[in-house]
Amino acid sequence: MKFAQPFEPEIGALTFQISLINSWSAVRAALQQIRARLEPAEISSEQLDDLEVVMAEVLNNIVEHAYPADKSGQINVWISTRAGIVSCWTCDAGAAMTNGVLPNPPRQDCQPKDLLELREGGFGWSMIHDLTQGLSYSRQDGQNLLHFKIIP
Amino acid sequence: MKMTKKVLDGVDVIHVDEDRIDASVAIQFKDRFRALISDGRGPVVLDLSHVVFLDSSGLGAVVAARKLLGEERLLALSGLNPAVDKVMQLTRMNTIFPIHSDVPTALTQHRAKPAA
Repeated sequence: MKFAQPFEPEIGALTFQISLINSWSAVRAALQQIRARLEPAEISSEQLDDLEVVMAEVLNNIVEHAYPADKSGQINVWISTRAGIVSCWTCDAGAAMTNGVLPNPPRQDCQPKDLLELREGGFGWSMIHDLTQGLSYSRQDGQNLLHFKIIP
Repeated sequence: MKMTKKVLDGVDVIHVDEDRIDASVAIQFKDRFRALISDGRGPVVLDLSHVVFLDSSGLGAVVAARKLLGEERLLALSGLNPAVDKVMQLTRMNTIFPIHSDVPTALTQHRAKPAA
């Protein structure tokens, strides 16, 4: 599977690409690799934490929903950072988003009286929306492309 | 999933000796938690001071742990690292779990009250 680089690299930006397969352990390794690759970029630890949360949710969603569990699939991540702004793209050849749009589930209303009815899932997309800027999704040639920025 | 339990002042203190609670270990976390709390009846403090990363699956497992204890047993969290604390705040789970800076602070709040 070939994924085309979805952007023109900016001059002076630190840019890199990571490829991984659709498994939990590959996601974990990719997140650690992204942190290591961004070390020279002098990004604050808070921004790195935000990026790790968002990237974990995006990649987990691809592993869980885009590809069937019993079939191997490729995921590509591009990151480009300049002047403290981290731009990210992810691409996969799995199933499209339902109705072609990004999920944006309502936030859970937490009241202790609802303790045993608390949801155990559905937190991922709300965190992606809350921590990113310019979140966009497109589907082209059987591939999903997600783009977002993490700004200080 | 490395998790250990100590009973301190009548409180079950469960220490997570892993640096991540994520999708790859969420089920193991839940199973191990269930085993560790099964013989207790008092409040539980989950010490996350060693955990530097929690994703939504990990959070789901912590919520499941809360539900396993039922209404009558308390679950407090202690030692949240910045990335874990952020996830708790974004998802408003900080309103569900009492959160303490460390285990001793949690114990002063939740240990069994001496008989009057």
